[in-house]
Amino acid sequence: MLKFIGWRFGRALLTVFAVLVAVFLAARLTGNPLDVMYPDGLPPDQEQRLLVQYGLDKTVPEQFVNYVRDLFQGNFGISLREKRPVADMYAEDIGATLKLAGCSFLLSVIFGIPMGMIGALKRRTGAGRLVMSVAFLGYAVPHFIIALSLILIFGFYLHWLPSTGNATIWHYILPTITLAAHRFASIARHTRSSLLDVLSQDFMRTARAKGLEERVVIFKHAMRNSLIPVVTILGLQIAGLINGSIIVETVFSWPGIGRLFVGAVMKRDFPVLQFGVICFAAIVVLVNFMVDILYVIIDPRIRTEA
Amino acid sequence: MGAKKMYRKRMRPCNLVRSTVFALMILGLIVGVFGTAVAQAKELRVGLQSFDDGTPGLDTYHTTNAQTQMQNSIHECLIEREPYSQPLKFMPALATSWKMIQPTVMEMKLRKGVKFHDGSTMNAEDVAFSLNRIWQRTRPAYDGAQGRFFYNFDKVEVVDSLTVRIHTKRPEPLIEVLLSDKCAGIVSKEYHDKVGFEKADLAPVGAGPYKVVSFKARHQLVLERFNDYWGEKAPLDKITFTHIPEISSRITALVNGEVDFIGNIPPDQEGPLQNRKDVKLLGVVWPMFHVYAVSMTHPVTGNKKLRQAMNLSINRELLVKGLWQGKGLVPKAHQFKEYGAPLYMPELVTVKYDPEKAKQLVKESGYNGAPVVLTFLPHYYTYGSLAAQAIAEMWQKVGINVKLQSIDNFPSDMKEIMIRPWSNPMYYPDPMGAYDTHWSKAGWPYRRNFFKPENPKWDALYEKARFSTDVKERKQSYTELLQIAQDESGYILLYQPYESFAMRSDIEWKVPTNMRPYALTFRAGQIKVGK
Repeated sequence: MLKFIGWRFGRALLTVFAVLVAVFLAARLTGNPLDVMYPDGLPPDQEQRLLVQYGLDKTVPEQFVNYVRDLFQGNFGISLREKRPVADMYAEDIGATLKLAGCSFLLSVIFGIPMGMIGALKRRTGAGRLVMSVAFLGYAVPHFIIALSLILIFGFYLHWLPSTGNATIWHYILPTITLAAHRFASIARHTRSSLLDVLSQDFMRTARAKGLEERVVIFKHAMRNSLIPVVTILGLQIAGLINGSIIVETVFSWPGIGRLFVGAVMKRDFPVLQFGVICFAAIVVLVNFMVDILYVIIDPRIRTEA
Repeated sequence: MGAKKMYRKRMRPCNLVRSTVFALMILGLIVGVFGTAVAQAKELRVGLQSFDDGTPGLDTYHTTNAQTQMQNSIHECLIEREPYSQPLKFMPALATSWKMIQPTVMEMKLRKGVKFHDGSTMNAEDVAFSLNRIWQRTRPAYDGAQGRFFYNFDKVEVVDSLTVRIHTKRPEPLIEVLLSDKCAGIVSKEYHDKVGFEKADLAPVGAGPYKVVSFKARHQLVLERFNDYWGEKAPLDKITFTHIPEISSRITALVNGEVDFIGNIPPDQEGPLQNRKDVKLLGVVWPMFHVYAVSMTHPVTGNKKLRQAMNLSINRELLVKGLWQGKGLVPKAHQFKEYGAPLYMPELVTVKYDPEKAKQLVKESGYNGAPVVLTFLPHYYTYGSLAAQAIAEMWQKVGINVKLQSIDNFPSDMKEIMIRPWSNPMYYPDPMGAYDTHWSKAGWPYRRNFFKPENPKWDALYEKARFSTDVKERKQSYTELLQIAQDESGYILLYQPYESFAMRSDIEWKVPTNMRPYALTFRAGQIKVGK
């Protein structure tokens, strides 16, 4: 077990490092950040002074070595535009993003798994078809369409819910539903197909032949065995949540990291961009690492194989 | 005892009435006092499309359309402009009087006892600090303001604690109008020294009628009335500016009662707000041109006849009708009615549409069909991409082989760029407020070899239009300058854009004509909020 965890952890670290290298190089391929910061141009001496100040006068390998050294010393860099530590900038806004992502994740699990079960167990009924049609819609319609539709209906016409900011609990409803729509649809579809697959296995027939109640057959035997692919999907959904939140935050004026991140890309603020991507990668890798461990808990065969 | 009891019994109802009346009076007083307070507590919630240009901050040096929306409430200048007067009037503000003591030196007496938002008292050192840092470009961040407004300003000399002298490099006919721009706002030196440039930018301490309570970069700014303001107190207790970039969300937030005031509504989005009793729409044709800057030094567009053909082949009426629902304005020349008399010349027409002449010019130019690349940023300004596509068609029709190129940011080296969009807002109500701020030798087009008029009269005429103290001479020179500029066609004017503000129907506000576009004025006498 420990060997398994150690192996997966090492792989996770390597992945984060690969992302670090990729984003560092990709950022520098976009061009000189001073071009965007000072669109009217700078006198050559001032430009040189700023390049030295930001460490951009050095070769890319030298910049990379310095950056990694600083990272290990807990220095994540200073924003080129705001002249503030990037960690502070993310710390100010990450809370709102995590709250939104957390609510959406919970909502998508709470609705997605039961919907998938209904889709599988009642697949030949109207309820089953309806549930999966809703899931299909949630999967197919882009975030911004859902967001604007909800704003139009519940904000503009009905005046039931606020459409901007995060001041009260009511402000959470529309962005949470928007961000969750795609996730619960995905979870419902995977739960359904996985459950259908398990329901057709021999051991299900055996369980029923033993005279077990249908409730026990479904929840103890079928659901547990169908969970592994669903857990994998849940892990991947975390990544999607952060991605999706960038659009949702823009439409609902949600004060999260979305604008910071997009602004960093558009304005070539390398330290902000690098820190954001590394954090994002670390979250995804961490979640997948936890999913790997969950596999072992759910399915002892994986532990044995490991 | 019996009598006493009787008395008590008899008095009880009386006491009860008295007590009730007394209680009601107290209650009335409380309700009156607090009710009045509640009724008078006026907050304005503003939804803004943009908050910054990527560099958050509210210090005076920022010159963007985004930040100007908020800066006007926070900062105070030595001289203030009356926002609506025609002709332009100046009002004493942090300076009580001023006079030219030499052709290049203006002496200003400062107002005594002016408080900054941090409670400190303004003196000449604050004035010198606020202006010298920008005029002398002590940081690259100040380049924009310095190049656009203050390149002729030298230094502030401190005479005594309430007297300063403004030194210009040469006589400056626009000295008052430039000193009344918010980039010449006065900030607390003591505060800057204490907290440093970055923090002072994010939480500025000025001397305007509202003070910053909180500023969350990219998201929200909260202002509160500054009770120690030297002048008439602000009419609002609190202003909250919230960044709502998406137009549908901004409109919904207004209709839904989440905000009271929004801007940047293009004509095609006005529909949901029209004919509503709870919302008032206020349209404005901005004193601003959407412009194509054409490289006068590129091997292809360096051909003057080709540039003239491009200029003559744009059907601006059609663009205004098709894109702006007829609400924008087709320019006659590079000038705005906001200049007022005598410098605005309604009879002057330099911009023309003549596709037949354009075809002829293309032939005469010896143009060999090489691609003419129109480079644009997709979201640079409203309908910019659509305009580029329509104009490309118009140019194709007169025989120009146009290629459209969409990019994310313009490069610092403009050598490869042939044509790029730009905007020319009127920064201050004077011909130079829109011309010198863009096409002077201090501007990027000239410095980057993009705008190089060939006409030998250009420099002399520019000199007179910019620096002459004789108004007639300035007017005459400016007229000739515009005619030459049309002949040179180093820039192509497209139209004046139209946008709307929308607000709660009980709000009374009007667009300030003497300020730059997008400046929001919420000072005393500039806004009334009904409830």
